[in-house]
Amino acid sequence: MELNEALITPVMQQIFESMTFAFAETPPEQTPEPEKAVATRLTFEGPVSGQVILRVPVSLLPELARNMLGEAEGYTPGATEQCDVLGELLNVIAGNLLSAWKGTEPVFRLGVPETEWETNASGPAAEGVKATLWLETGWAEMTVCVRSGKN
Amino acid sequence: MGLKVLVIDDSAAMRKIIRHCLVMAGLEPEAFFQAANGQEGLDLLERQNLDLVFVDINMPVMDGLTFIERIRQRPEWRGLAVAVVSSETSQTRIRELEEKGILFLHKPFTPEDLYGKIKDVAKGDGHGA
Repeated sequence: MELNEALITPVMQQIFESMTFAFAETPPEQTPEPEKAVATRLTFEGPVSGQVILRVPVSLLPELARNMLGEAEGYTPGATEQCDVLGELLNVIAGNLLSAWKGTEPVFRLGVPETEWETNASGPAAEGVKATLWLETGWAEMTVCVRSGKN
Repeated sequence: MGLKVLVIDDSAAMRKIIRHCLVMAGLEPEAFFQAANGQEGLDLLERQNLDLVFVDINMPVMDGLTFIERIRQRPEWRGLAVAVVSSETSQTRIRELEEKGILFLHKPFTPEDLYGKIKDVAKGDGHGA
């Protein structure tokens, strides 16, 4: 199976919907204004190795965290909790994406997620295969960078 | 009978999610313990009698597979029910774990999925090698 946007997007959609109750929308007609984002990344090693990066707008993260943790509307998750939630989301997406891509036999080792709060609204210039999931109240962008192995 | 549960995961969010799912599944633990890695989990096991351990695979300090190896070496812990919670789908890995009597809960999961995996433990029928 080839790694491309059509492979990544349904996996992202399924995980976002089941874990955060954030449902996919059709892409907006106009590109939204750039927003400050939070990016988390983790490495994977196995028949192919590389890293995956998940970015979401800072404004979306508290809602994702509340929903994922089963907390009420008024709950304000702390910065550490928000980072932890984003890391967990990426871990689950990565695990499921790798099996959608390479099948369910290979064993992959996933690294520990590392999160970075971006200081400007342009985002990192990571090279790789990208997919964007549009949500009611924001977006999520995934980048898969392959370091070794066959794409 | 309420369960005495330990969740070993370096993600505090996942520990909270598992507890929330237990409650949603009608299995609110009688006692709930948390550890951030396998070594902390072993230290806790030395001090507490537990019914069920949920453990992640990839963690710093001591990973979940090493933790499982260690507890299976101790006769008093051999029968302890252990469920690996992971986003991995490798059938190779799952078969290896199941051969050791380990339950496997794939992420993402619902409270119903969790209940389905641990219902025998919750009923007191136990599980383990």
